[in-house]
Amino acid sequence: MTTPPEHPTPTPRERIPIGRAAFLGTIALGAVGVAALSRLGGGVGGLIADAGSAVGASGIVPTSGWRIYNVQDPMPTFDSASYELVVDGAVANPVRLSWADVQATPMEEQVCDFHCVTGWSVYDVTFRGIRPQTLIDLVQPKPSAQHVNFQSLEEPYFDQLTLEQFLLPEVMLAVDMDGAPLTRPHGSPMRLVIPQMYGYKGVKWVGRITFEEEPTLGYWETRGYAADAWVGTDAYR
Amino acid sequence: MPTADAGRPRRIRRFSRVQIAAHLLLAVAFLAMLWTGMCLYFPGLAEVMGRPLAKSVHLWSSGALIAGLAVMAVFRPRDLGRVVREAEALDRDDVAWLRGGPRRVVDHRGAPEQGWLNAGQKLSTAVMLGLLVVLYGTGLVMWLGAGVTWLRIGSGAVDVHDLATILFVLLVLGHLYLALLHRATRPALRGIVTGDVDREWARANHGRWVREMEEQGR
Repeated sequence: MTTPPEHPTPTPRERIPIGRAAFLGTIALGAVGVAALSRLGGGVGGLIADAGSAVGASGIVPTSGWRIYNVQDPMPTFDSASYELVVDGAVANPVRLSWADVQATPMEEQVCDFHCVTGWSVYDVTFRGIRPQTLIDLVQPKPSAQHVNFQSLEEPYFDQLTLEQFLLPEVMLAVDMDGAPLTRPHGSPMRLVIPQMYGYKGVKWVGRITFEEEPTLGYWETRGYAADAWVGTDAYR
Repeated sequence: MPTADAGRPRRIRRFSRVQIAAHLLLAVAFLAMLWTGMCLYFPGLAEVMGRPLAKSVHLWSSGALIAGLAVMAVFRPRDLGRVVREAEALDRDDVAWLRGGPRRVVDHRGAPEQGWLNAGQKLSTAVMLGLLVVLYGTGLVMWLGAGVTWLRIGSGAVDVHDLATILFVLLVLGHLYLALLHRATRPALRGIVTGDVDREWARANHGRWVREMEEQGR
């Protein structure tokens, strides 16, 4: 048995793999983070919320997997006394619905997924709202009205669906989400839900629905996004 | 005037041309990805640079970085290999240097002699390389997740991509501070631009490396 020298001077120098541990540890943390945050969801959003508003016209709020986007600050405020849903355009029977009228309209409930074009998804969201057919029966669009505009109270945001897209199953004008009235960041009192397309088609804070004969590009579509934002496509032209 | 430098060139070669090119490629690709990523991320910036252009620049920059590094690794394996070999392990002096705490990070006096890279550079290189792997992994999930939505795993990939970006940016800011502003470390900047650093500065900051070089007659 030999006694090691008190102050060894290793040649070649010893190599303690701390750098490798830091490298692999960073990767492991990343993997654990993906797994954990996919379940918790949205927890990170708050960290960047301030940065988001610093860059203007954006708010990113952590709400169980959702990230909240808007194009104008502040977000519209819902007042049930003054709210009015205007449904007009190329229709036989244009209407202005008060909030009480909206609430009295027959509604359905559904569970669907929500996919954002920026890469995140929220699964199994429960929405309750008005089916397009209910609205169509009410206002009776003319045969030439093959497009539907959704104007947000958040000016100048709006988007358009073809009548055919509007009538897809699971499309609705939602007023409740996950068992409670839509919150302000989610577009209270009413947002368009079309699970087949990316979220930017689902106009929030809907104030006016207009049946049109001509196609028009929506807010993001004039900025390079696809008008037909089918989930699973690149969503730009 | 340090006598040790008598008869030797004033400068000493620290980085090879391939290492300088790799650093430049990383810096340019990083800035391109950061800017286009912000344009894809913040609605306010989305109007400055449209999504189609921002997304393709983001993806092509990431591809160019990988391709460039791969070409360098294949044709000049020693240049990048040296960085990896240095960063993956610390020796006792490195550990002692780190234990010296923040004072030694900014003021080398009394610190154990350091090699080609000091312990802080080794660790930040290792963490940055790890973050790059995380960014490429989560970025790949986001990219493929456009077509295969279950791959997105909720917002996990996006969240971690964001967090890794924030950490990377913080490390880059620290790196920029030490390279451009901090008096004791500023002379290193010359090395990553021209390859050469001041011998006297290197002796004070990377003493063991200079000694080894001089033993080889450099």
